[in-house]
Amino acid sequence: MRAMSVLAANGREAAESLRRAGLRTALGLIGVTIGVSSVIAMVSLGEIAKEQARKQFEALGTDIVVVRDRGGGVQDGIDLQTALNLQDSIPSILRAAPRIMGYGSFLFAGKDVGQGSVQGVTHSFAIVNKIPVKEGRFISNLDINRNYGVVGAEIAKKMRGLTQKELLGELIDVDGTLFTVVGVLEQYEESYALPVNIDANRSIFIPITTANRTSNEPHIEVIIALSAPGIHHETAAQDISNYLRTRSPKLQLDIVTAKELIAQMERQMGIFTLLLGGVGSISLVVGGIGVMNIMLVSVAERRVEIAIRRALGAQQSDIRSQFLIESIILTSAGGILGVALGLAATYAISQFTGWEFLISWISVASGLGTAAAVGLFFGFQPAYQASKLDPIAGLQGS
Amino acid sequence: MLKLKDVCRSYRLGPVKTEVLRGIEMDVRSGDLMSIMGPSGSGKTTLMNIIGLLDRPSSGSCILNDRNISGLKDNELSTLRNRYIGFVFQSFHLLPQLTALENVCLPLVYRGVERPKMRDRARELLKHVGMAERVNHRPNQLSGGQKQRVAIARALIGEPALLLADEPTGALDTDTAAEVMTLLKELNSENGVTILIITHDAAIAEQCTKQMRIRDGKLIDIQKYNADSQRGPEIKQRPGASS
Ligand SMILES: Nc1ncnc2c1ncn2[C@@H]1O[C@H](COP(=O)(O)OP(=O)(O)OP(=O)(O)O)[C@@H](O)[C@H]1O
Ligand SMILES: [Mg+2]
Repeated sequence: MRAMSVLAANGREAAESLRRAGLRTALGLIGVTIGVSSVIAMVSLGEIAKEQARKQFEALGTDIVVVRDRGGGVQDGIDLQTALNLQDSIPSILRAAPRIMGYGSFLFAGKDVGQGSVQGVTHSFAIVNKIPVKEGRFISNLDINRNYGVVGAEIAKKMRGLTQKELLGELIDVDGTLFTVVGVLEQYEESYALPVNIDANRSIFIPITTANRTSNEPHIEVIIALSAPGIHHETAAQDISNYLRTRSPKLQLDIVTAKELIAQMERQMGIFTLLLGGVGSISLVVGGIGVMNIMLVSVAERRVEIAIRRALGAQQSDIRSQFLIESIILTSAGGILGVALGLAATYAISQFTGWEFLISWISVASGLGTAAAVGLFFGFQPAYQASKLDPIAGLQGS
Repeated sequence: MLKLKDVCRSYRLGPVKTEVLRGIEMDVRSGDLMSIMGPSGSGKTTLMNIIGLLDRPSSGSCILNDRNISGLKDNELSTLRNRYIGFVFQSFHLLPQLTALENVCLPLVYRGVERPKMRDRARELLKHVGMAERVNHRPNQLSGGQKQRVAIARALIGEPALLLADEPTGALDTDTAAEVMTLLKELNSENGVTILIITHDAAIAEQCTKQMRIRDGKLIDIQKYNADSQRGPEIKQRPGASS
C-alpha cells in the first residue's frame, strides 16, 4: 500500500524531473536511442538477410540432393552409365543430373570469345537447375557422343559481335575440337543457395557422353538430383548412395540435401544475426553508461532534494525507486524512439538493397526490453548512491 | 513526550575530536512552545538533527513517546520522522519542481495516504496558513514568507507530535518574520501543536513559553537560570515582549 503510493508518486514526478534536467535528459535519450536503434537495425537486417536466403533456397527447391565424388575421380569414380541410369532406376528420385566438368578456351570465326567451363551434362541438368534456353534447345538425351554445344549468354554475346548470322548451326572451337551450336542460353542468375557452381553464362554445355571422351578430366564430379514428391530427403540420399555403391563399392561420396543446407544456413544466419545484435549492443552499452553518468550527475545535483525527502520520511528504498524509475523512463523513452529510428533505418537499407522489408517483432520486443533493462542496470548504482546519502549533509549543503 | 538524557555528540576529524554536545538534558512536553538559543557553532543544528531523528547521539539516550530510539534501524527512524516530526528549515527547503500543494503532500506520500485524501488535506492546510490562493504555484513563484508558510503547512500535514523549526525566520525580513512567528504561536495556542524553535534572535526566543540556551554543549533553562542566578538576567526581559 505505502510502497505502491510512493511508487505512483515517483512515477508521476519522474517525467517532470527529467524535463527539468533538459539538455542532460536529451543527451541521455540520444545515447539510448542510438543504441536501441542500432540493435533493432542490426537484428532486423540479420532477419531480413535470413529470410532472403530462405527464399533463395526455396526458389531452388527443397527437394535437391547433391552428390559429390570425394575421390575426385582419381580411382574408381562414379560410373557414367550408372549415373545415367540413376534417374530411371531409383523410384525415390525424380531426376538426376550428372556432370563432367572441364575447362577450355573458345574460338569463334578464328577469334577469341572467352574461356570457361565445358560442362558435360544431360537434359535433366537444365531442368534441375532451371536454366532457361533463349534460342534452339538444351542438350538432349539423344545427343550421345555428338559434338553439339549450348553456349552461355556471355559467350553468345561475344559471338554476335563477330557475325550477323544466326548463331544456331555455327561452329565453335573448344580447345581444338569443333562443336555445333544447338542452343543459346538466357542470362542465368546464379543461386548462392546451391552448393554447386553453375556459371552458365560463361560456359558451354555439351553431351556428357561427348565430354567423357574429350574432357581432360573425364569423371563425374557431381550429380544434382531431385527427390520424388513425398520422399524424405534422407531416403533419397540413402537410395542414391546405395545404388552408386553397388556398382563401385569403394566410392567415397559426399551427399548434401537442400533441407540440410537450409538448416545449416539458418544456423549460420542465426549466428550472424547474433553477431550483428552484439555489435549493436555495444552502442547500447555505451548509451547505458551515458545514462549512468547523467543519473550520477543528477543525484549529485539533487542532494538537497534527497535530504529533504529523507527528513520528511522517505526511506532509502523510496529514494532508490525514485531514481531507478527516472532512469528506466529515460531509457524506455529512448527505447521507443530507438525502435522507430531502427525500423526506419532498416526500411531505408532494405529499399536500397532491394531486400524485402519486414519487421522483426522479436527485435522490437527485445529492443524495448533491453532498453528498460539498461535503465535498471545502469540506473542502479546512481540510485543506490542516492539512497545512501547522508540527509544531514544534504540539508546543510544548501 | 520527548526526553533527552545526557546526550553527547562529538565529531571526529582525524585525530581531533570535537565535542559539540556534552550532556544535554531536555524534556519537551506536549503543547510546549520552546526556543533554543545559542551563538553560531554552539551545536543548535546538531541538537535539532538528534531531536529530529536524523542523527544519533554519540552517547546518552533519546526517548520519544517512551521509546528509546538509539537501537532503531534507518527505516524505523524514517517512519518515526514521518509520523512524529515536522521540519521547518531556515531556507524553506521546498522542492522546486513541485507545486505548493504537492510539496505539502510529500509527508503523506511517504505515509501511503490515498491521493485525493492528502490533496484535500493539503488544500485545507494551505488555506489555514493563508496560502489558499497559491496552491498551484511553484516555489520560485512565491515570496520568502509565502514559502515558509507552505513549509509550515508541509510540516503540519502529518499531524506531528513535534514541529521542529531551525531558524524559521532567519531568511525573512522583520515584518515577514513577525507574521510567520505569529502563525507559529497561533498553531501552538489554538491547535495545540508542540513547537521547538531554534533561533539566534532574542526577540523570537522571548515569544516562546519555554526558553533554553546552549552553553558549553549543555542546555540551560533561561527563565530558571535568571531566577536562580544572583548575577543578573541572561536576557533582559522586555516588558510586554511575550504578549
Ligand atoms: N559533520 C560535522 N563534522 C565535524 N564537525 C561538525 C559537523 N557538523 C557540525 N560540526 C561542528 O559542530 C559545531 C556545531 O555545529 P552546528 O551546525 O550544530 O552549529 P549551530 O549552532 O547550528 O550554528 P549556526 O547558528 O551557525 O547554524 C560546529 O563547530 C561545527 O563545526
Ligand atoms: Mg545551525
